[in-house]
Amino acid sequence: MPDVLTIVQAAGEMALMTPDVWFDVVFREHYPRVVALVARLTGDRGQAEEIAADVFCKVSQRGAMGLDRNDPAPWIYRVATNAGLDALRSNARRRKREETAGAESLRTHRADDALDGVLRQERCARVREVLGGLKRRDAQLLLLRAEGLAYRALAEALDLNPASVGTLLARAEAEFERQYRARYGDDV
Amino acid sequence: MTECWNDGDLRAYADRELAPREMEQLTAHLAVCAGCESRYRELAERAGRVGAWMAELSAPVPVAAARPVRRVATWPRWAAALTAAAGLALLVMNPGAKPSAQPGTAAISRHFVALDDEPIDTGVVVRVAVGPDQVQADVIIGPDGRARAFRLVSEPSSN
Repeated sequence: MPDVLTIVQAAGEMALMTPDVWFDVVFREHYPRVVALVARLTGDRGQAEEIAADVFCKVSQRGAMGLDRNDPAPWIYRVATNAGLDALRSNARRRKREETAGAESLRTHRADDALDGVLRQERCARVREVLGGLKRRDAQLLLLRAEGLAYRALAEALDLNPASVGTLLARAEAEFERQYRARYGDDV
Repeated sequence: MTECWNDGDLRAYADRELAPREMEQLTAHLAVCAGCESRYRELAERAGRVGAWMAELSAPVPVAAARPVRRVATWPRWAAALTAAAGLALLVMNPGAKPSAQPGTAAISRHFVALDDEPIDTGVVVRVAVGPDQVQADVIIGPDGRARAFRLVSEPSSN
């Protein structure tokens, strides 16, 4: 549906839509991306769908007040990455509890899982672990930049001065790499 | 030599996020300043590495990592009663086990074809007749009511 949205936005009509139509347009445009973004973050598609549903519940409540109806994307991605990072951290706590209790991981590898599939999951788990250990804004910057948001959109989403995005991004990347190597060595 | 640039500008340059005029100035500067050039290379390479790490997350989430369905553990008991009453066969599948043949269907030799990638723990096998030729097929219905796998029992031509 991006083409529909682009046309509508170009006409500057987002703010003029009825709330139902507005929500429908926003939902179609952003819901799949939000699910994909949160799923990357948590590694759990079912959980990502629950979180995305929650985010859009807030969108529908906020649609009536405060939210920029012409460009709700920055707000949506900020709320989504916040919720995703919360889930990432509580998942990590749960895993730790399970490990201490000696329980097996909830992940059930099928016998025919290819070796590189397992290795890839391991690499994903490392990236998530490091993201979860970063300052929230740093993790959000990296996630949303990887999502393809331009600097102006990043600044809006995270309430930053647009001129400082390059500096903050460079620092976040340096911090990510430092923590990754501190945890997992140079074997990357 | 023109003035040196800070890390933020060099990082934005790597993303082509500077204003066009600044892009030109910085390009010219990098050609003559070894210090900025080496800092730029370092920042851009790190951005590439971190980008690659983040891209690891973008590959599809493996289905095997999905959370198990909670109802599975309690389901077979009532399902057994239900299916017995309905005259259906209940099949509790062990990984790798072949489905047991049913009475009067000696022709069954095929394996089930899964309709998705999720492992099947339990299911009800329902015999159905499809199409004008009444081709018979077995369908495994999972605890959530979705069809999970099927196999043809009789060939379309043999009926």
